[in-house]
Amino acid sequence: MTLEGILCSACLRPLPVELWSGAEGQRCPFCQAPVLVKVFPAFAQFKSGSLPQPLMADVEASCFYHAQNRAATPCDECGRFLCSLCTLEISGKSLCPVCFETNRRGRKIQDLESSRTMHDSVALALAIFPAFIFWPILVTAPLTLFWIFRHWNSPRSILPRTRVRYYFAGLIALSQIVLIAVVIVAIFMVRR
Amino acid sequence: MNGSSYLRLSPKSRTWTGFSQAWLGSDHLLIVNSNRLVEHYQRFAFADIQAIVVAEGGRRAVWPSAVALVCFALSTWVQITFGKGFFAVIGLAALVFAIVDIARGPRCRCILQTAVSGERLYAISRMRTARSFLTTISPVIEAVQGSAPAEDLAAQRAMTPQIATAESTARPPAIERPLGYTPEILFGLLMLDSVLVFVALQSTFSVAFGLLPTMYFAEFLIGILALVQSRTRSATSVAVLIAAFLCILIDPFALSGAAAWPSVVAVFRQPAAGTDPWNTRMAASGTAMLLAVGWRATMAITGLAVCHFERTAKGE
Repeated sequence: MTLEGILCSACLRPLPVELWSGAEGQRCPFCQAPVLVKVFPAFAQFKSGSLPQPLMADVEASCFYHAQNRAATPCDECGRFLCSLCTLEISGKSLCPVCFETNRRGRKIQDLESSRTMHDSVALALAIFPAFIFWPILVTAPLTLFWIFRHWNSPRSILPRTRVRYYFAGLIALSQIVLIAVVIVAIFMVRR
Repeated sequence: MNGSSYLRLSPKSRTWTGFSQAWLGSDHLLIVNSNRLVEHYQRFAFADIQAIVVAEGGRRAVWPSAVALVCFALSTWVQITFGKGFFAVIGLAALVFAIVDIARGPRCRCILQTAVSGERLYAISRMRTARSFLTTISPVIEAVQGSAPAEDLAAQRAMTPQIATAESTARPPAIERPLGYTPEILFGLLMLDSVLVFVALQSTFSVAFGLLPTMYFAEFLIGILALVQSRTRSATSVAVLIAAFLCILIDPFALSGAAAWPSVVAVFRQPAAGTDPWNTRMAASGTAMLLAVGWRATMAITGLAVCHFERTAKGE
């Protein structure tokens, strides 16, 4: 028995039900690649979004964005009444699309963050790479120190991560500044 | 270390440009794709994961092994000592690469399936990783979804409707994205640069060489940034931006470049007796100067006007 849905990740053809058990040593009947398949009950469940209910009487509260729809819940941020079409359930909160966007832009809810800049890696790259052609360190060494101070408390990765890159970047930048100072002093002494 | 609620599910699957890694969250699987400077996150709620399919892929140790063999053969064949060393080092590196690849076990392709997508998990790139990944994550997903034999799931799936037929004309409210200010910064810079170009072409070579390259670089950089961010802009703004960027590209070679380079070449080929070429005044022609200053001023005024009208029309 073959159902559309569970596809072999090598040849993208549907895998028969007999292979769904998750047991080792099975092969895709089409490409013969050894496969490991694990299917979960969500595969058999049909999820349909709840449709907004129309307003039946004038006394009923309507959605802020759809005057014809009955309000189902208030937004937890701005308090506007929302129909089920406009309600977004995020991290235990019911939000309207506008507050959702505000939270996303303001990085207020971690679960909405789709990317983060690793300022410690930027500082380290800024400290290391320009040193290969030497003269840019006149600018990049102070810039690295500025970057470290500016972003010391900026949000880091949402994963476990230490500040060790900041320390290394700071050390390298300070060494570069000392080197620049030595070179400048040496030039002055030679000229005299 | 910052407090994190994630547990590592796989080692880093590294590429030339970054890495990918899987983490276990409280109610979701987190896939981190990093290019070293920026981490991108993808979250898959345990309740939404329908299936995980892993297919074993071929070994790629063949190519490094072939490279190693060829290099070792060349190192014995070449007569020059440097050549021998060079090929031996390359061959050794390829051999180490092949051995490490074999030691890490067979590769695989892992796809995580949800109701709306089939996502390739680059973090799961080896069969060994895939097995431990499945062993860890399957009980967690089953704790949320429950468990059922595959045959029952197939039978249930066959009975459930595949397509939602609910027709609804209502749509969630559109979210207006505010316009950025990069084009205004670019056109403001062009206005400022029109003055600076005039100053540079009127002054000595040392001043001109200090000013012009910096200006070109700044205009080029902000021009690219403005074009990248121009998706939400009107067609007129984009057209003006493209025209400005084309002028920026042409300028160092044809417009202000035409004013600067010939005189540079002339002075440095035949410097006047007793004068430092760097302190010689630029001898740009009036037409060239008018062109170099003129296009910047015209573009700046046109661009700023277009941006102003666009903002007024959008009610910002």
